[in-house]
Amino acid sequence: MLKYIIRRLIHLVPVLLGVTLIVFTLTYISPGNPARMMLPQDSTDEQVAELEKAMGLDEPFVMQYFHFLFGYDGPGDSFDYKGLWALDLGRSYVSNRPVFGTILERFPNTMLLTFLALVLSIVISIPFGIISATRQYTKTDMAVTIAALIGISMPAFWLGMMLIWVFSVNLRWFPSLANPANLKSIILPALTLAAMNTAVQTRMTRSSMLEVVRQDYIRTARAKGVDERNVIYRHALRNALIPVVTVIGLQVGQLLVGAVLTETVFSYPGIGTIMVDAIQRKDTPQILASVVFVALVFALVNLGVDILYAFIDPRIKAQYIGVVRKKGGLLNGAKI
Amino acid sequence: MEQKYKGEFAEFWKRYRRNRLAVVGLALIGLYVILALGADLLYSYDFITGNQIPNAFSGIASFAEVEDGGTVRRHLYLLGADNFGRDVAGRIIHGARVSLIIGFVTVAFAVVIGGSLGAVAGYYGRRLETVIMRGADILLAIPNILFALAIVAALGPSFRNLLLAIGITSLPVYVRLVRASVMTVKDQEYVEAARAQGASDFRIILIHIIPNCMAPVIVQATLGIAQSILSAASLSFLGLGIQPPSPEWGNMLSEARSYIISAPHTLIFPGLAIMTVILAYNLIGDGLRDALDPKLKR
Amino acid sequence: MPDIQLSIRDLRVHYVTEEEDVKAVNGISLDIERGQSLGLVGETGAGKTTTALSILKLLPKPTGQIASGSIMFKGKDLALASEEEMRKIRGNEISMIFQDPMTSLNPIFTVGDQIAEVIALHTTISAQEALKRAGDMLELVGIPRGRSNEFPHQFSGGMKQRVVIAIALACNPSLLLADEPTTALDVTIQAQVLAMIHDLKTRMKTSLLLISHDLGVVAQVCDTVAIMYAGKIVEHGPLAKVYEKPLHPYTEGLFGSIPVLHEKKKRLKPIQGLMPNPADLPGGCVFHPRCPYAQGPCSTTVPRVTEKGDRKVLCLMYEGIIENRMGVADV
Repeated sequence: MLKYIIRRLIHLVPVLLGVTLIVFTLTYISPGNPARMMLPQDSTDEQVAELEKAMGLDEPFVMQYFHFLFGYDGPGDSFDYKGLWALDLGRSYVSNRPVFGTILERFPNTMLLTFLALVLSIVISIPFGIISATRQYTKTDMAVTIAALIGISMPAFWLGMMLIWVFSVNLRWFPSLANPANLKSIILPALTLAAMNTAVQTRMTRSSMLEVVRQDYIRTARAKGVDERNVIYRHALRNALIPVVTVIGLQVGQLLVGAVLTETVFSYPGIGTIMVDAIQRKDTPQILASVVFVALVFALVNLGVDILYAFIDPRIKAQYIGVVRKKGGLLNGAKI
Repeated sequence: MEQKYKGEFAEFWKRYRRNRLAVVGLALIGLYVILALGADLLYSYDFITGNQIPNAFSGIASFAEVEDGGTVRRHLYLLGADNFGRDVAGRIIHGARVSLIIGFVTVAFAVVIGGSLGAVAGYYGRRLETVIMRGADILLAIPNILFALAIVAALGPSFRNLLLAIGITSLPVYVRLVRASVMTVKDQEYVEAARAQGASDFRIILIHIIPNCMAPVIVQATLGIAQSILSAASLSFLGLGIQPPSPEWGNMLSEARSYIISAPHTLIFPGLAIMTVILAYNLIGDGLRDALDPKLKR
Repeated sequence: MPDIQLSIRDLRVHYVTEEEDVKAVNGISLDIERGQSLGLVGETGAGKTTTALSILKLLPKPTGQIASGSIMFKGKDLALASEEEMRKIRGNEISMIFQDPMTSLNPIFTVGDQIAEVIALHTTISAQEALKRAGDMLELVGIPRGRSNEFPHQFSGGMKQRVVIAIALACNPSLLLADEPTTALDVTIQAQVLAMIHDLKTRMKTSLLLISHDLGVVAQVCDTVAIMYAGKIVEHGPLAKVYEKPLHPYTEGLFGSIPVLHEKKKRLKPIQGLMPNPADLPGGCVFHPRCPYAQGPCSTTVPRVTEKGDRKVLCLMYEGIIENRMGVADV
């Protein structure tokens, strides 16, 4: 098992480096001079050039990338930073606070929202997916299918605003501004964020169940005298959930990214709003740090899901750790 | 040859037609395409970008006097007016043109370039394949919208940069897809036969291998158009895409945000437009997937 | 007094869809005695699998329906039994094994668990004890009990089928239904599995209904054979007699179409035509369009079962309605 994890981590390194390289390259080629940005409007060209030198902006691309990763100890004291590997990419143009500091402060808020959305999506999608599959071709199935189709087509930021219009403006059930201290205010953003995922997961659960229920081993289970309820929940569901779990795992990353848009709509203080504000104010260090941070978390989350997946499907698990007597087998909880 | 293809298409169409929702999707897109093509005929560009402040927030289906190219006339605001008195319906139709162009261009770009890279990777294998696939992995490691956002933020908001950003982020999916297809097809006997006849690699890839990989690519491309349109709208919403007064559904929503209480219609209709177009493409994609699936499921 | 376990009378099974009514089984009757092995032979689409599924009421819902007839088992008519009652019988008193072992086992549970499940379902013993008995069953089918904790994908096709057999026999059923159990296996493995089925059923005194399209397979295990065509049983009798002197033209055709190693034959004699569409059956005798001995009345008169000693046949020739041109007057 450990070997598998280590192998995956090693595979991750060049990918992460590639990501940082891309993000760095983007800022390098972006028009606009960071030195000029930091100085007052009327500065002379000499002053700008001097600042450039102090910031290390005259160095070649590769050196700057190196500084980006490992830090820069500029002449004088003004522009030192320890680099990405120490989570230090300097200070914001706007607030002059360390960029990662702001991110780390706000990240827990985003995590809370994402977590809530994840729970909501799982709790809604799996039961509805099962119901839809077991009642194929009935009105219930049609209703769920259409709802899911609409769910995957709805732009999240629009949904958020529509929910605000219905539930905040007209019905006054929920506030339109969200903040982590007030749980009631997080419900609408969580629902908005969860919508797309829920729809995708419901569709996945439904199609997976339909596929599994047609399998021969389900016929064997019925021929053994297993009652229909156990056929669905014990024999079929666990097999059907395997691809669903993969999808859920992949979606966690998307949730994180979706948070960026949704937070803006509800003015929720998470990394999404930081990023969007930074973009609007052209606060390059902040933008840079935010993008890199989210990309890194996204990659780590996907790695975590990969590893988790190995625990669930015995065929994959067996490849990596050899066979172990399973707890929680078929007889657990069986009515005897 | 032509007879065979005609028959195959008829067969495919028969299967596609079975899925009623997929046909609805196709009809919807057809409608949008017609509207987009006729955008200038229905509403002139200047009219929908110019301000008509006195008519701000006109209600749905309301009549008002407007100034259009020097003359004053009576005009029917089908879906009402926004905060500048501009016709919402007109802006939506022009926005349709923009969105459809973005969708087609970005996906075409991604399919051609991504597909070529994937084909090369799958066909030649070894080092070339590793390099290309590693590159694709890196591009895939950054979530789509975030990546597009970063590119546009770095290069500056403009139509060209928007297309570039969305095109690049859509690339890697096709690299992977085509590579996988090519790998299954390249060992088939008809490829060996072609090689034995002295066909060049290029010819083999283009004429023999790629046509047999098209099915999953077509399905993904359809869904990809939907994703591109959504990305474009999202970025414009954040101020990073098409800039006002140019109409784009995303930036229309961004402007309408402040008027959610006083003029909800400016918020509802552009969003509805986005949703229906994406829904239509999803329905078509689903329908294509079912129709092209070799295993006929009943 | 023969001890009859299963008695089917005039069973008719239809698959009802929006477009058509598929008459899969059209009035068959058969008996299976204790310890007997009945081979049910026929081409694909003859209705053999449907018959077996009907016995356990495992027909696909909602399309599969028992239109009429009775299936008497231990004094009870299964055709009328409730789902609750059927569940008690499945895996317990009547078991069924299917054709493809590769997909018949649930990939996420160990084989031990899967055997133990059927035991636990129908008895009141503890989980521990059930697992132990599962191990016993594994040994019985020739798999070391230590492999109880392994997953299906770790076994070969032949061994998977043995596990399937272990599951089927775990509760010592009175009747085993086997639907083409060896068709998906290699010929050598086939022989092994058949031998094992034969051995086990003799030891445990289980009755067997073996479905196959392969006359050779049936010969290895069965003592009685019933030939099915288009949902009807056209011939029925002790295996040796039927094989040596078939009474029905269809049976004769089946044997004629088998290549024989030690005889020099110029050409195989396949039966002309194809099995009819069960949604659109021919009038009169179902076989008449393909029968080399067909005459006038065959297209209008439906034959009734003729009994000759321990043999039964469904053909107008033996009812005296038409001329017997097959040359087999009496047995």
